[in-house]
Amino acid sequence: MSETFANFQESIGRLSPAVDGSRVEILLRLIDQKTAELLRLSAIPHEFTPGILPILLPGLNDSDEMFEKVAAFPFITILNQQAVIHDQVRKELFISWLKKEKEDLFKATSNRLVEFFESHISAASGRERELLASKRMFHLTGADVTKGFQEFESLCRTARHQNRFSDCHSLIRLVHEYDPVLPEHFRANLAYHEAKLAADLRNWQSAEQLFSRIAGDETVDHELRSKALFRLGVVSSDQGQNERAVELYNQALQVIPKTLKDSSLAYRIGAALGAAYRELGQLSEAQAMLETSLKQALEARDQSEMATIYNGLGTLYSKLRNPRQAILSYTTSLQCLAASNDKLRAAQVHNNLGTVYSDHGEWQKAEEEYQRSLEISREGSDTWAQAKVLLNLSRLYQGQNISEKAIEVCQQAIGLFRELADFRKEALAQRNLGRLFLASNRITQARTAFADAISLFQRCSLIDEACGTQQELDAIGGVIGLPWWAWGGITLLVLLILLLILTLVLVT
Amino acid sequence: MTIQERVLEQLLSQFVDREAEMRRFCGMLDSDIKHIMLLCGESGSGKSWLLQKMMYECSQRSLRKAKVIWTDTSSYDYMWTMRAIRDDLGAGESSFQTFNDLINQYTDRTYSPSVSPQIVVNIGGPQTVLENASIKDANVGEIAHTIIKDNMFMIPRSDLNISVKELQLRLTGAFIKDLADLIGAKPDLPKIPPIVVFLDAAEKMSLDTEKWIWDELLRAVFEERLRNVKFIICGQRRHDVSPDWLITVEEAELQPLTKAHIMEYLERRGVNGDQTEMVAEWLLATTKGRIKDIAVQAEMYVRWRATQGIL
Repeated sequence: MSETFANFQESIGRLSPAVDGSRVEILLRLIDQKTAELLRLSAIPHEFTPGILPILLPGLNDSDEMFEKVAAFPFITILNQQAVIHDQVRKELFISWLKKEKEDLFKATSNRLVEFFESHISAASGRERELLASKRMFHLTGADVTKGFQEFESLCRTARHQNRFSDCHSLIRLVHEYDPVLPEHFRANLAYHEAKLAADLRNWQSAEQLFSRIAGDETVDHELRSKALFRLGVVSSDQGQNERAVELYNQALQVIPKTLKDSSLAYRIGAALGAAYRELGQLSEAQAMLETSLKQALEARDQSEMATIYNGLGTLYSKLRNPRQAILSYTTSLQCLAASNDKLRAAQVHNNLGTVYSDHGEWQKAEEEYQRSLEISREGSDTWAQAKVLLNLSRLYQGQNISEKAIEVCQQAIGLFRELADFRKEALAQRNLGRLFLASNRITQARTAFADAISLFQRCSLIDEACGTQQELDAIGGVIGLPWWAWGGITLLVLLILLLILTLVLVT
Repeated sequence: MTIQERVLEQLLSQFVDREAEMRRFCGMLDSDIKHIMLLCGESGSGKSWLLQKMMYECSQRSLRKAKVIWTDTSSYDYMWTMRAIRDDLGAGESSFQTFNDLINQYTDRTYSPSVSPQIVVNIGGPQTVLENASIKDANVGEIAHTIIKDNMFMIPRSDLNISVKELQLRLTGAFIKDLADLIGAKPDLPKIPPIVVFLDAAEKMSLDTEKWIWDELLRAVFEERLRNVKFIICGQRRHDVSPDWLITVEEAELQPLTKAHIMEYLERRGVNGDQTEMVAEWLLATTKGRIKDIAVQAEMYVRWRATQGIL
């Protein structure tokens, strides 16, 4: 081994214990102090430019030169005109900033970064503004964890309501960088937001794990535990597990703090519990729960939640074969939606009203409600809702034996499901179309529709449905789908051949 | 040349050749069957550097390319991924018109859909990309192009009740149509150079974006609705590719650097002579060939020599 290399190893060996063996720290000890300090500070933001260096190190007057020096380290990359430290190296450097002894300097630097990003936000718009806001939130958390976390929750809620799930994901990941110093209650809240995101993305397993962890943690405050149990119930309900949902909603109501017994959280849980009972066929429990929740929502004058509960009650009365009450509940739901200026949700309620009228043979009223629902869905560009209403309309016309209209709207629904690449619903609609054709004695078209439904069911791996439809197709019998005049021609031809054979036999 | 370009040039000049991976990449560019390359490797294995080299290769071949890089702060969703690809590729008024028109209709209540005059045209400043960069004598050029953008609103209109899924389907459909038109590839026409789309740091994508990439964007490639576009996806995690897709997917896992690679790197860092092999062996033993660790430790050695006055 050469002497130079031996000396190098000896030096490194001397430095290692002092810096916990961190390679980056050893490297920083080997470079000049100013560059090392700037490199450490550059790990606080996620990217840096020559412009941000004087913010990190006030008084720096050779920022271009220093940027070139710092960014030339081989673990730094240039992305979109900004220098980015390699993830692992940055993580190592950033975590060292979270140590108690560096707290003052870290907070002061974070504060300057908050001001820096804040000054740029006003001039920015759209996505640029959102990115600056998330960076500001990140550094605000470094400067003041409470304010930063409040800002995180506000940004995350806005992004979630706007369906910007990637932004929620990014915000959550940013706050996780503070895990080593994040107080327990913030950590639980962060997990709650993470779980809600997982549920939004139908990542049930992850959502259940996170919600269960919060719900089972005795150190977490009761309101958050109750919310987590409620959300766990919703996740179960969304997966069709209503028995488990009932159990979880009841637990959520037990855990809820006394001060919140009449809060919106309480009546939302109650309404969800009522709906779950209804799905399980426990109709008296459902009614009691929905009525209690309605009372609380009425007291709070919460029009939006009242609309939801009235709609739920409408479905319940429909199940109880009480059309008058069902119609009254749905109509009241529509009034609440109008009061809360929520036009779009009305489409669903009109559809439900149409179904109640249809079930009781009030065809004209049913058609009016379905058409109203269709109109609202069209205005709102909600294609799925349009397709579903068209299917209901098709059933309505079928019930009135207006076959051509039933077929026409069913075909329209199929076209919409196809546009949406919703193969399962397209398959169901195709099967329905097959039945409509069969009822109108249009055998060829019925066969085609059933065959299309089978291949769509197979595409969705719904083998049972495919087999069932195959049986319907087979049951059509040996009738080959030819028009009557073709069958007439074939029969005549066969008779002629037989006559010819008979003549030949008689002649010979 | 900006400071950032100078720094990038210097970093690229130190890049160690990844011959095997580069051969597979070049093979894919020429292939009629392989259209997706999955490049995976653990953190610090040099994926992003390799991607820079691949982009350079595209520039050498004068291929049009787009890149989307996920970072801790910029989390592209499906809409922004399409916008980013469009902005890198779309020069000219007629490109991505359907997509722009549709996205405006869904996000801007005041927008009147119809024909091109009503599409808002934002003329961006010069876009600097890595062009004509030479690995040895790096020289970063600059191209400027006019970008036709949509209104860049982020939120669907509040007076619409369009579901996330439907919005995604319709916008993706329009984007794929426009991208296919931009390429102009048809089965019965002579072969034309491909467009290359680089997606880097895929492990930072959110779950919904990853799902969209595979279920919507790449499915269009698999089903040949999108021809002559090559996708390079780079990330830390392996993606379980369905067996049907294997015919179109080229998978490459980045291998640790070998001693020969490390020696080459050290020479580029100015470590020559009898020291090279010894230092390379030490680096190989202590880093297991991870490029990021090699870079840090080689830097340590170079800096230490400087402190000792050894050049």
